Amino acid sequence: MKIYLLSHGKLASGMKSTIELLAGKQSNLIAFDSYLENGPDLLEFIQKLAKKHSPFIVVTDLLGGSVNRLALEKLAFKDVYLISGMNVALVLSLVLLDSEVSIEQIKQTVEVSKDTVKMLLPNTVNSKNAVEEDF
Amino acid sequence: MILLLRVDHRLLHGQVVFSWSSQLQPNCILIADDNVAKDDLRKSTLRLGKPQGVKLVFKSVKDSIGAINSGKTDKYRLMIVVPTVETAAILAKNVSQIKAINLGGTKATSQTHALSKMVNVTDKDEQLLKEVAALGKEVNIQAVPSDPKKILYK
Repeated sequence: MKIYLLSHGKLASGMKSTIELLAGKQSNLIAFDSYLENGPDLLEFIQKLAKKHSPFIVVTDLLGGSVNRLALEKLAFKDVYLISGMNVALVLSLVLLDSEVSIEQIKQTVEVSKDTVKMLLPNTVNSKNAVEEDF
Repeated sequence: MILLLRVDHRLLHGQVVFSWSSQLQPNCILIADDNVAKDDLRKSTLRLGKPQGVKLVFKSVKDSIGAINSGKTDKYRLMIVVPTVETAAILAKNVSQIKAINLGGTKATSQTHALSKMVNVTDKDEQLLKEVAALGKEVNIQAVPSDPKKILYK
C-alpha cells in the first residue's frame, strides 16, 4: 500500500530520507513538503490523491494543523487511512507492514508508536527497564 | 537456529532493529561483547531499541559460545550482533551452527581500509575473515536486507 507523507516544510522529505537510511529504499513511500517557496501546491496534490481508487495511507505532521485538516477534509469520503503526528517509529512500522494490511494492524501500529515518545532523563537507567534477560 | 551473525559497531540500532529483525523475525537477539556485558548503562540504552516481543540477551564472548554450544539457544530464532570483526571471527570459529558472517558496519580508523561505505577493516581483520572462510563459512557485506548482498569470501 502506498504511504504519503505530508508536512509543513521539509519534514516529509527528511522523514523519507531517514526511513530509507534505516530500512532501505522505499518505492511506496511518497513525500510532499508543503508551503515551500515556489513549491508545488498542497491542495492540488491532495485533490490528485482524492481521485485514486486503491486504498492508501496518509501521514501528516501536526494534528489539527492546516496540512492535516486539508487532508481530512478532502479525503474524508475516501478509502484512506489518515494518521497525524508523523514520527520515525510510526513511519518505519508502517513501511514494514504487509501490503494486505488490516485496519486493526494500522491502529495497533499507531498505538505502539505513541509509546516511543518518552522522557528518559532523569532517572531512566535505574527504572524497571533494567531487567536482565537470559536464554 | 542462528539466523544471522552481524558485525555492527553500533550494535542494536535502527537498521538492525527495523530492517533485519522485520525480515528475519528473530525471537531472541544476543549481543556478544565482553565490555557491553558488564556495562549496565549501555545495556539499558540498548534495551530501549529492542523490538517488541523479542528477548534481548547480553553475554561475554566466552559465555555466548558456551550458551550456543550447550544447545540451550536451539529453541530460539537467534540473531547475534557483535561490535567487531574479531569477535565475529572468534564466534564463527568456535560455533559450528554459525554458517556466515554479515559485515554491517565498522568504524574507520587510521589502521583500517574500507571494504564498503560502511565497512572498514584492518589487515588483521581481513586475515581473520579469510580464516573463517577457510572453514567453509561465508563472509558477506549487506547493510539492510533490501540491499544486494556482496559476498566477500566463501
